[in-house]
Amino acid sequence: MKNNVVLALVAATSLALAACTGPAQPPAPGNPGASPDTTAAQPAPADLTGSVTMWYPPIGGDIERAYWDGMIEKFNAEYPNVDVNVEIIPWDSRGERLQTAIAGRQTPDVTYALPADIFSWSANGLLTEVDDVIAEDRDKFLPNAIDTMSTDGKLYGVPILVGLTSTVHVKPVWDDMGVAEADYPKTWDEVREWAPKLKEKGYYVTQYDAAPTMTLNGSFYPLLWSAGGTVLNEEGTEATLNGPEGLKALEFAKWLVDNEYTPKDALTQALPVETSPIAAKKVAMLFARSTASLVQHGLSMDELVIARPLADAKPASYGNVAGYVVFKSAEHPEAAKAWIDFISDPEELREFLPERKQHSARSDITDLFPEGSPDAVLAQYLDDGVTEPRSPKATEIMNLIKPHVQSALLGQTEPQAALDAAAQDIDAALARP
Amino acid sequence: MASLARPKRDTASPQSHPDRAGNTPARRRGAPGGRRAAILGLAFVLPFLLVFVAFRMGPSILGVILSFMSTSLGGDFHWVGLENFEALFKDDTFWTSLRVTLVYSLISVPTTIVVSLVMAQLAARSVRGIKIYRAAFFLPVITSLVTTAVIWRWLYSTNGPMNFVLGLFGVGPVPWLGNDYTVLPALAIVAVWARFGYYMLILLAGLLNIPRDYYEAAELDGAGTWGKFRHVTLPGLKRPLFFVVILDIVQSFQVFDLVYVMTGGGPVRSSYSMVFMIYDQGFRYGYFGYASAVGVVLFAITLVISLVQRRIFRED
Repeated sequence: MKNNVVLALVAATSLALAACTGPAQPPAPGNPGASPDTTAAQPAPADLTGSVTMWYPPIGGDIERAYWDGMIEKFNAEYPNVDVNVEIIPWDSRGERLQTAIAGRQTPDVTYALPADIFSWSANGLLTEVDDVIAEDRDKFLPNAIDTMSTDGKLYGVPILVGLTSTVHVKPVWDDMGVAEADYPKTWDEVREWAPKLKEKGYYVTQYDAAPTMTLNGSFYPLLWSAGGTVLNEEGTEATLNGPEGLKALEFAKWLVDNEYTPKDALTQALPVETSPIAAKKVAMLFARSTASLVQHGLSMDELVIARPLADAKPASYGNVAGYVVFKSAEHPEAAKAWIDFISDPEELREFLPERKQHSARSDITDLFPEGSPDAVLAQYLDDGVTEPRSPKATEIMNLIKPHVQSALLGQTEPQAALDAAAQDIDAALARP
Repeated sequence: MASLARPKRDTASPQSHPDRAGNTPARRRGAPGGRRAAILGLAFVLPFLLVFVAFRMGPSILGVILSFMSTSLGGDFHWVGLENFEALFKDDTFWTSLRVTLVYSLISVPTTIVVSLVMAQLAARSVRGIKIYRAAFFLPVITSLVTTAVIWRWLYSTNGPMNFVLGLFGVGPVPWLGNDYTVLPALAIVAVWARFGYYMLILLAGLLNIPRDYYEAAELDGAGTWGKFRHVTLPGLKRPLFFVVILDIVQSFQVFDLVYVMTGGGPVRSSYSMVFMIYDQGFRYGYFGYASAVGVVLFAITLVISLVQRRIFRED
């Protein structure tokens, strides 16, 4: 019999027990008694000993295992006494897996981290500062990338890539409408103009995904930012999404829904990839998507046109920054730092990034993609990327907003009332210790 | 003298009841080798008992303790007394999850029991190939619930088979998983499909255990089909029914897999169950103390319902 409650209690209590007996921080190698954060002189590579475990989600799919085996081999040629183990963990439930590992003091030494992870983990004192890893070439990193990976001026993740989910047009749909690339909609007003015309020919102007399992980074947030709003105030202490900008964003989304300019099914469930309107080439444009996600729907790169994020007050969409972090619980932090320094070396990244269709977080790594290619086009718009809210409770906040936005879109609540209710929930969550 | 002592001890035993034929069973403790048999029995049970205490009872007790603590991802644990419960009872999300769980159980449990009972009656018949039918009915039980959920999500989709069939009669499409009123019945149907096979087997065993004489006697007394079912089958199935009802109530109160895969708790939290709330609070946000408090409340509700159920089904 499946006994989920007991399982939950078992997990929770086991974590509690484990947490009470967390491992003591070992001194840095070659420097007995020093804190792991120490930036004392590094031992020579051959003298560095220890083991490093890294959890890594398969950004590049099937190529990852071979790539990391090769990296370990190269690393060991330089650091023969450091034992590295890279575990490829699935994207699905990556967050929950790390969350439970942290609570149970079973974390890896190193992992690939996203902004929400950095905000949460650094606020809880779980990460080792890594300023020393990039000390020599700090000025070569994009300031926004450094800023996103930092909390209170301290760097907790070595940024390796930046990304943007931008507007992606489906060329066959626009071709059928007789619209040239230069005339594709760039603003909300132009979307308003084209949506009825597309509907007349049996197309949706977009697919707005509002299912509880879908991230708001691909739906409501980009509209909110584009309207000039934010989820939280600058200090991150109060919800601001219920301001006029938030209302404008939600009313725009509701206009799309009410007029059936977006598939209704997508409001309540994640549509199956194979049978979705996107796969059927019935959707003209996606407001905040990666081309990779659309290729999964069976569209080819030739059929996709990347454009600047949709603009209202300004063009804006979700800007991602990712990097490597070292957990404080790492038994050999110096070995862990040596490992992330090695794998984020510019020469290695020149191979790593293009294979995964990602952009560099460093200004000295350029021209990764052929001129005119979709990824090269996207590189022009990286500055439009927004990462918000910058709060340790970013995940919780997003999940609190989702049902209220969904409620407004389904016509159960007025948009302003839905946003006010969301703001109230967020403020209550922020007030909670 | 020894031959006199044995019956004396037996008559003193409160557990020595005569059977229907009037024979009094010999008391095991007094039987030769009884102690050895008891030790041997305990030895067989001991491994399970140890595992049960270590991995079920122990963590459950610690879970209750955790519900009185405040936790953080950083590993800080503070005793907060009843604060988690006070916050819980003021939390609208908790009341929503409780309402969802109760409504889902009210739909799911009776439907599952009725379907299981009907299918057990059908499976009890002696027709050609009945074993194949029984095996087919049991098949959903051994299918992964996640796989089941993925398949049913497709069946329920706007362009899926369910709406196609309804469309033939000019009905729909019905937003099975996208509407407040249909989402819980839709999930309950999947649960019934996934579980009835197991309960059917238990009830079938109970049915086959009812002596045919009782039915013949009822027929002689003029009982029809309903009369035989009401006065012979149902009383004869009292114990298996008690077991099945308790089991299904517990399963329904713990609904998670189907919600996680099929709806994510939506639309607008209309399928947000209590276990889903435990998952959210504990594993997504790291509030393990608060999540444990929800678990304790869920345990208390399940316990009370089970005790009431036990009283209702108590043997006369």
